[in-house]
Amino acid sequence: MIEAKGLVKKFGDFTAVKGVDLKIMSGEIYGFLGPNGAGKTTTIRMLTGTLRPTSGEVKILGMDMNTHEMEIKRSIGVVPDEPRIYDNLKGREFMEFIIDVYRCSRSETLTRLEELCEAFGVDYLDSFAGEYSHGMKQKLMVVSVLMRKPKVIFLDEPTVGLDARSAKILKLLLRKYADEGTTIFMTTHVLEVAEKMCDRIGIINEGVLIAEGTLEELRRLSKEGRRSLEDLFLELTGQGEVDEIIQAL
Amino acid sequence: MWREVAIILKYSSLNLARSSNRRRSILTGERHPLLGFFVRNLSVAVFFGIMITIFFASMMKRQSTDIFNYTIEETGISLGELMVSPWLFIGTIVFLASAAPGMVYNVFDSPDIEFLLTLPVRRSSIVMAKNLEILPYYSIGLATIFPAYIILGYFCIGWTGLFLGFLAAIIYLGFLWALSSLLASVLNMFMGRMVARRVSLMVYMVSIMLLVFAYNTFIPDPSNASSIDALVRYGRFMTSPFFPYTWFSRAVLGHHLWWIASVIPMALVYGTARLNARLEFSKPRSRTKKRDFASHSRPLPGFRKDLLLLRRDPQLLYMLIYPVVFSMIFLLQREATMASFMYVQLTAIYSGLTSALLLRQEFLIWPAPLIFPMSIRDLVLPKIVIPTIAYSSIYTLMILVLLLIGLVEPWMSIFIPMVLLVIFSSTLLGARIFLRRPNRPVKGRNIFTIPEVLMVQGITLLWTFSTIGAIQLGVTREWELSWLLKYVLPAVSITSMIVFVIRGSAKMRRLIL
Repeated sequence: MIEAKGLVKKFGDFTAVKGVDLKIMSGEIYGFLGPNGAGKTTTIRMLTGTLRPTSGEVKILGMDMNTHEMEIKRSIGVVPDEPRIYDNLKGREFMEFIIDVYRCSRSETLTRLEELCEAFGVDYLDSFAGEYSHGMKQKLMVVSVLMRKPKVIFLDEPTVGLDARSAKILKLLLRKYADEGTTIFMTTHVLEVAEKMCDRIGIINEGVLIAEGTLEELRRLSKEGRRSLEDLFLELTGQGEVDEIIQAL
Repeated sequence: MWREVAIILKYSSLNLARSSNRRRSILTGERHPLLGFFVRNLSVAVFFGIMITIFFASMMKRQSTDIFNYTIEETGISLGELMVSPWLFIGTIVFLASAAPGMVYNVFDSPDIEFLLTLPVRRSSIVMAKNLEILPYYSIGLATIFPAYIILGYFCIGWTGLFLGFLAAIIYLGFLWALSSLLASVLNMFMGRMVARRVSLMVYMVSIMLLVFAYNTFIPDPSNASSIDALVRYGRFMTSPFFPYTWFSRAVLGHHLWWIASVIPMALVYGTARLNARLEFSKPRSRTKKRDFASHSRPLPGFRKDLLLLRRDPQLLYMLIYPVVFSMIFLLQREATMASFMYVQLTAIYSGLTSALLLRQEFLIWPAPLIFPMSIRDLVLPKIVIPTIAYSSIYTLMILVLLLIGLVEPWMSIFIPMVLLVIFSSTLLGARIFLRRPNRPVKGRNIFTIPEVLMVQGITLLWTFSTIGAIQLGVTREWELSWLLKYVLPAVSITSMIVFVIRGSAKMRRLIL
């Protein structure tokens, strides 16, 4: 499970995340939403140990990030918003590197890798990563995480760049993994995805977690009785004047 | 069409000028993008061209003009033509070998090609601009071919010859350019973007090595009669009319019928432009062929990954090979002691740059490496250890071979631990300077600023000269060095390196944690 207490991140005078508290249980799919620049990626980076918080604490699977960083990293899987892979490595070599660096059980992981490559249409492992498109890199990153079947998975905009078939497979797989006890933390701008997939949703705006709960609980927060997540999101983040903008245009 | 070419070039050169992060000036081209582009990209060719011209001119000026027009009876070749032909031969190979793969990479797989194709611009204009963008790839070829024709014309004919030589150089370069475009179209059928990038950079760097090698071994000495006789045989080969450069050499020398050959490059240029207009810019990618992965886990994944990246990065590979090739030139002249010293001198600089370039690989995909369960120490350590082991192993091997064949004396083996220390200090220095400013632009080839390069070069050269240089001069050359220079200077230098390694490692730990 994922736990964060009073998470703060400052970049000079600018505070990107202002005391976020999170508690996500195992087997849960948690959607983390927010407008551009709200602090989603900064939060996910602090939760995955790629950015040190200015203050606050992070616990993953009961382990403290400050004292068990390597153990945590070995137990989690991260699909970043921008898939970046060494240009001069072939897909196959990148997968070998991942298997060795995470100390995965080889036979089990390779069987899963083959199945996942088949499912996602990853048939370019013999080409250099520098020749991949954004979508191809994204699929490779997703496969490299799912093949390890980690206990906690973080996904930052996972469906961006994926074709419809791959996106559908990913969504179904995540549900399946969650049902088997995996904790999933994902950010997305596609609110339909969050609405259909997530057990709970957190909305962050200007570095503050302004709302959290199931879709039903969020609906109760609406002063104007809004039903769809899109309308709710716009109302809660103060971006509701869309109609006026369209009129003016 | 030329207007379209100029517009594409203007904005792409502005982009390049800004990515190099230099001050706004005419040379960087922000104010005059096109002028800046040509000045920046042709400066290397002009520099080398002037050097080659000075070399040729000073060599030829010592002889009377009659010698150059002297025709060797057995071959019917003038001595002047015989002298410039090897240069034209090398220039031609270098031009074709570097331009064609460069074009494949730059024209067919440029990241901005998709965007350019959406613009209302002709395909042939896009290709033309892209071909001009890679002017630095032609530099060595340009620098060799231009002076060769000009000098041939001037020294054999006079001022008219200078003009004819200039004309011949332009036409011949046009011919090579068109031929490179055709070759690029053929290469594009089976080369991917990454392979093209590696091939083009590797060939470019090998061509520089070839030029240095040729400079030291190929140049015939016309004042030596026996040498002239020996050149007759290979002169026939070098000036064969099957080589297109010979057509224009003959034309410059007064066989005016050969000017008709100018039609061929023009036809080639026209044909290439027509071909380029119909080019397909995308190519099908290859599918996974084999499914076999290693059956067991292997240790040190970080080291193995960095070794693979070192092997595949042409710039890194070049820095590993070049010192060996360079010292080989001295070995050919049986200057073994100097060869080993030159190797250390170059590797001292290159090992610092190699560790920085290996670190760059991580920063190119930053912050992705932080996701892996690897500590920063695990990420940085291979970048220091791999170059140290690679360069010092080559040096050890070199000394052992030279000892075996008796070209150096046994006492020189004491340099092995000293060289290890110099190289280790240098890699540490390179890594430290890189990590002092980790947010530096890492996409270009030059990752260090000029002061940083000077710092790496200055400190490492100081270490090399004050240890190996001082001892070598004192012992092998038997120079009259004072005991201060002979013993105290190396001792102080070695101590300074040890202190740097200990303090530097501690400081780096603080930098990266």
